Amino acid sequence: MKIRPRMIRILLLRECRRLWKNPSAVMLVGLLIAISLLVATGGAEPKSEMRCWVVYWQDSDWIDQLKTRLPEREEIHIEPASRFPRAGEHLVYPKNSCAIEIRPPRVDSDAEATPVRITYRYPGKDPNVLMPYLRWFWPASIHYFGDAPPFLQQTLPIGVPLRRAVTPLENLQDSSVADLVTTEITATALLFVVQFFTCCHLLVSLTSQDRERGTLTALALTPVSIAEILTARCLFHLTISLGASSAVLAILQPSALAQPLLWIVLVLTSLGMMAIGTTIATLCRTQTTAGLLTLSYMLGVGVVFYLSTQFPAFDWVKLGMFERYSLPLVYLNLKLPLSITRAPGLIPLLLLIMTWLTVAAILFRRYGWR
Amino acid sequence: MIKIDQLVVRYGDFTAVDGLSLSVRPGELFGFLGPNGAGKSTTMKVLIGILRPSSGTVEIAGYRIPEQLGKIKPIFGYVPDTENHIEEFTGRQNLELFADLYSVSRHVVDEMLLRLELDEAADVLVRGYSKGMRKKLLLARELLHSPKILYLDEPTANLDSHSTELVRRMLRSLTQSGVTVFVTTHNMEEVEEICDRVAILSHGKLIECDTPGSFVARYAEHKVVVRYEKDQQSFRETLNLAEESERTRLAELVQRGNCSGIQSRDFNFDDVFRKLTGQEFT
Repeated sequence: MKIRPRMIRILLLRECRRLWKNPSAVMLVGLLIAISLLVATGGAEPKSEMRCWVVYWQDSDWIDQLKTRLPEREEIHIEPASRFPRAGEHLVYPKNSCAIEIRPPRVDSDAEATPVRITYRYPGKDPNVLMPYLRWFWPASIHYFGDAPPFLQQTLPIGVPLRRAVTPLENLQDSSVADLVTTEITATALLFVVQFFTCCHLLVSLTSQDRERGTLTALALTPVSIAEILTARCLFHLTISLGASSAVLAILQPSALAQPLLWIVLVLTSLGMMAIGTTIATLCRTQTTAGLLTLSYMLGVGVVFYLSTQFPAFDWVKLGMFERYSLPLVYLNLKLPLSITRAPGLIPLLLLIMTWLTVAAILFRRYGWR
Repeated sequence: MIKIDQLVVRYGDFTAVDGLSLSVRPGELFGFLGPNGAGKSTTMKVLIGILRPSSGTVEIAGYRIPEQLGKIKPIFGYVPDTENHIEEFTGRQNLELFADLYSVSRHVVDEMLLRLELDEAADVLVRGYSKGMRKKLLLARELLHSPKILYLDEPTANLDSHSTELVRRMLRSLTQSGVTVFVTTHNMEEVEEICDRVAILSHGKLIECDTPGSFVARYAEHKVVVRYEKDQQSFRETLNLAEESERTRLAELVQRGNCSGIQSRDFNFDDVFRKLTGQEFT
């Protein structure tokens, strides 16, 4: 299997020219970015006099470190709990405030310390006001504790009594739908659509068109190898996918652009989509059939995800779908930075993508270019 | 240059090519003929390496196909019967892409456009080309890298008489420069005019392989159509002069003096083809 950079460059150039002459595809990518802009504008936190109080009951090295990592843009104050007046069990905060309360671990009878208890407090009914502060607090804590800070946490309105605290992952899993509809879930959905469109739908459309016209055979009969055709296609769609994903992230959550694990997951998902697209384009004789099958695949993913919430048997089906791992990983990465070593589902995702890529490459080599 | 030995291609239970053996010499213009469904396109697909034979061997320039397809890709060109251009590109852009893939310099593109009289439409999108122009563009594309073997499927279909002549001359000059040309066509006049040798295929089997002239010489039927009058009625009779009895019958009609006309029937390669493939009209 030989891959010559010169051939890849020629084929990439051809794909770019072709896309440029295909205005509908370019317009759709633009539309997705425009949607991101609208979402970002619509969901922007209003500029207010909001302040965030980081309140601690016990001084520690961690608190000292938090003080040294305060962001410039947000108004965050780190103060001991004793500075705040009390109303019964609760602390009383000034108007337009939210708070991150850090209570020390409880010591049980058998002298085993519990994790630090964190309570995120927000005024009124909108917990999203906490988001700008959490984007600082979480990375700063992870920087100190490592991948999994020993926290039990809960999110409550100011003045509401404490409930049972849970771990960060439990918190994400137990969230209600209303809690979940945040910038992160919107970004996750948009990234999935971007990847589906650029790596699956567009690839199927262009490849099927090439097959139907016989252009693929014409190219394959030149000194270009099948591996080079596949590599060029892969690079082309991956570049568009990652470019559009960067635009979506830059608009919706710029801090996520610096997360290596998120990029790994995005690259893997794009490769998976391309493998699915190549398989569909190889198995279908006409562009119309391939297009319909691609949409059916997208619908199929949605249906299986929904059915798995109703019938446990579909959980088994989901195990074989890479979206089962990639979507939560993207979401979790947007919510809080994870490290590669502690990313849940990364290994199964990698294995599934490798399997799909192998199947797609074998099928394309045998039937796809003919 | 091309050696096919006991080639068999099956699609399920249907045998498209059944034990085909033939060889084509370097610099030869070889016609590969057969009625629809005879197995011509299937054989062509095997030759260019896009179809794996069920059994038998194919050797092109000493390389086995499809195992060593990569080795012969740079030395052959294939002009399919249906055009496969990139519609969003101009004629020139199409040729430039293939020139780049074959590492051929750009001036060859201009040269080829000129040779096939496409220079004026070079910068027009291919989707604006006529069928004939598309066909010529295909030929130009496959000649860019100066192939040693050229496979052509219906090369002059959809071409006007001027372009047909242009292509035929080009093919002749290619064979004179040592290029092996393997052509399938339904135009028997073309076969008679340009092919050095011809193989006729029917139902996947090779019927015969020879020069067009030899075919005509061997299978020509010497027939005449005689018109005569008898009892105030007109009659028309076709007589085969190869038969003693029919020669006597012709002499008899002439001696009686009631022949109003005798017309000899030309027997060309098309008639041979029909006869050999069982497609004669009764």
